[in-house]
Amino acid sequence: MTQLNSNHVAQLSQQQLTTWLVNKVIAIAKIEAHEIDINEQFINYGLNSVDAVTLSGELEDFIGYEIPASIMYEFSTINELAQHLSRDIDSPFAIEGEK
Amino acid sequence: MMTTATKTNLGASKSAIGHHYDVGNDFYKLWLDKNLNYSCGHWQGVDNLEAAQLAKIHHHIQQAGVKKGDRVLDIGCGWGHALQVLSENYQVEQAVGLTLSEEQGTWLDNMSLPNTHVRVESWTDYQPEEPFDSIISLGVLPHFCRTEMSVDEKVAIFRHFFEKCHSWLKPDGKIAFHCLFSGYLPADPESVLPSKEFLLNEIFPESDIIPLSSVLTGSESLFEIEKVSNHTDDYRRTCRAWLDRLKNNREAAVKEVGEEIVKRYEFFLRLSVMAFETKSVSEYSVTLKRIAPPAGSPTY
Repeated sequence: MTQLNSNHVAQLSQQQLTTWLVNKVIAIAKIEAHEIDINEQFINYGLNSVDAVTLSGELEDFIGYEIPASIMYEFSTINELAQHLSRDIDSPFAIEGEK
Repeated sequence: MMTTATKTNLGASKSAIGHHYDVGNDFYKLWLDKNLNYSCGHWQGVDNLEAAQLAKIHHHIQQAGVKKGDRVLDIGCGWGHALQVLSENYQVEQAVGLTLSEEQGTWLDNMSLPNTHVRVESWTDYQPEEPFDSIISLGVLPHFCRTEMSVDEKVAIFRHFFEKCHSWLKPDGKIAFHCLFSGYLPADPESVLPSKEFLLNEIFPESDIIPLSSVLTGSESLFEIEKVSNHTDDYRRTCRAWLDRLKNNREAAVKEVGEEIVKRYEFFLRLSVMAFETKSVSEYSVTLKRIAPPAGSPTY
């Protein structure tokens, strides 16, 4: 894991990551919270490559460590991505930061 | 010494090149390496951007077969690090650099590199006074074509380019170049259109990302291929290093060029990282050797 110089790695639960991603998708897709299904593919909410790049950057700033810019293609739903990142943070390589 | 020419060219115009490269040298100093190399570094065996960029330059100079006392042309010389290495480490007779950027031309003029001549001129208009032993070109081929051109038109441009290179090189002369090329096409090309439009409208106007095959087709019967090497992951790592430097120097960058331009470059660099991760763009280094069939050779 490469920690970003300007940030601490946040210890975020899968639920916190899910909430953050849900809010982002709501804002980008301009939909209501009740229309979100966390197992739906990002692309089905109309998210394109520009959105994927922007969101991966914001996500990186949020969690405080480097992630692939293409992470939303590798983990293509809110649930998959939140699950992956929460496991990543729980890994022995994670650097504990401010809680 | 710098020379400025004012004719037109086939690909990106001087104003289009200036749109990107004349944002300001001080801005680029905040996130490129100290020698302002603006193409893929070679990271094998090194762990920092400066060393990766120097390794890239040595790779291409050596691939082009440069020896002491040679004349070498650098097409798209940027801020001139390759010219500097040619002058200082390879004792060339003369290194000539072509650029379309006025800022880069002025920068290089101020460097006053020995045995070096810089021209603010397109390769389409350039007429050397003497032939060269070697040609290098680092990261500029996408500027030769515009996205609205057909495949045949693009091949014709590279044909024209390699005919020029062939006429400028001595027998057995070599050209070593690298740049990004189009790679894997996603199953849903519509989903990546917005980012391609951003790249070609906001970052590199009047340019295009071309397939390697179009370039090599243009070189057929003029050059033989000596080596092609893949550096896609090297370019991903280079763009990531640039992005990290820009983020770490963000405050100074905003002061230099403003929030909007910094955001545009942060997005551009992250988009580039993604394109290399997904292999939708690939980076190749290519070495070609000039061939000239003997008189009386059969034609097939």
